[in-house]
Amino acid sequence: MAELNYLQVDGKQLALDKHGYLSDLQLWDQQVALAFAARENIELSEAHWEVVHFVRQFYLEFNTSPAIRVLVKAMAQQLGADKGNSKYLFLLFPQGPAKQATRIAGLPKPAKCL
Amino acid sequence: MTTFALLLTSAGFASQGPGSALQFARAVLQLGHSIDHIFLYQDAVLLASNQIDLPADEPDISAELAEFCQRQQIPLLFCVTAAEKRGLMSETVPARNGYIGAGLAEFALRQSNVDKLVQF
Amino acid sequence: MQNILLIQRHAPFNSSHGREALDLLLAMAAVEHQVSVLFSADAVYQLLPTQEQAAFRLKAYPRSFKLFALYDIDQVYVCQASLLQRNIQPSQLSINAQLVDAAQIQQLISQQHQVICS
Repeated sequence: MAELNYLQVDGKQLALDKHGYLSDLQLWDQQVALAFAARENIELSEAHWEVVHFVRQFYLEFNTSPAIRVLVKAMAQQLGADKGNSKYLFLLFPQGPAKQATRIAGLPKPAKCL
Repeated sequence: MTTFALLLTSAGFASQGPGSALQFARAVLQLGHSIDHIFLYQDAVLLASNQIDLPADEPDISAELAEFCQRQQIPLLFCVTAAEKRGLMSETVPARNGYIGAGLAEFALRQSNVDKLVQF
Repeated sequence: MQNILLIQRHAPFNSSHGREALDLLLAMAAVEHQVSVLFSADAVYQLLPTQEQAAFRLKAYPRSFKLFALYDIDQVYVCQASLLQRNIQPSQLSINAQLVDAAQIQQLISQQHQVICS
């Protein structure tokens, strides 16, 4: 996992935690998101960005990264049922929306069973 | 007959909780009731450490609990997240023999099969 | 599905009790149990607004109480006597919670299948 300890962005090295999430969420910006996404083999479309900004906003409001269940529900409430469902989110983030979207958004790993 | 579950939240060595839980569990079975599972959360996850080292004249509640549950075939579960946060185990450091890693979700789901939950 | 009451009893930032109890509550709600939560004794301090308190070196989990609505947790109670003893006005609380007296707490507990204390 040694190669996962840093993320290269614009010649800078950003520290990651041992699960590959950004250590300091203040250091996040769009370039960081693009670098994470490239490593996850995801090309960020407008739909991806919407989710990434949504989970970041979620974190700022609730001080916790959303697990998938609550992410689906919160998105359904704010963006409508066509976006607030797990199929839509898994199409965008095939390795797991809560995991991938929070990583790309520079947030800590979401809790497993909440 | 009543189906019990036990929730342990107090630390092993540092409190009486787990010892009382073990005595209670034995009494439950003696009286013909059953125990669906025992779940360790908060400081009780310290019981699941495989690094516990006690002199021979001090009771090892962690070992007694594991042995009791194995003999009675009672799932002895601990919250993996709470254990990891306390540095008890990792991918390379396993839990003590007899202790099974689980999540809060499993504990929550199991409550549907339980008549009474008793906390120590 | 069980009726499960969580009783929070600990002050917010001198131990992890409140935080881990919150995780447990959310896990219970996530699998569709009918959960309720009662803030009692020093746990009423968890309900005071605490936006930034980095000096405590414990996560500011009370901000996550706003998740209750998303988890369909609408039975949120606070012990009236505990507020009075600490001279806290209901208007100071950071979330909507129903004030309950001793008799109402007794009734609340009697409606549960299970009661868990933090």
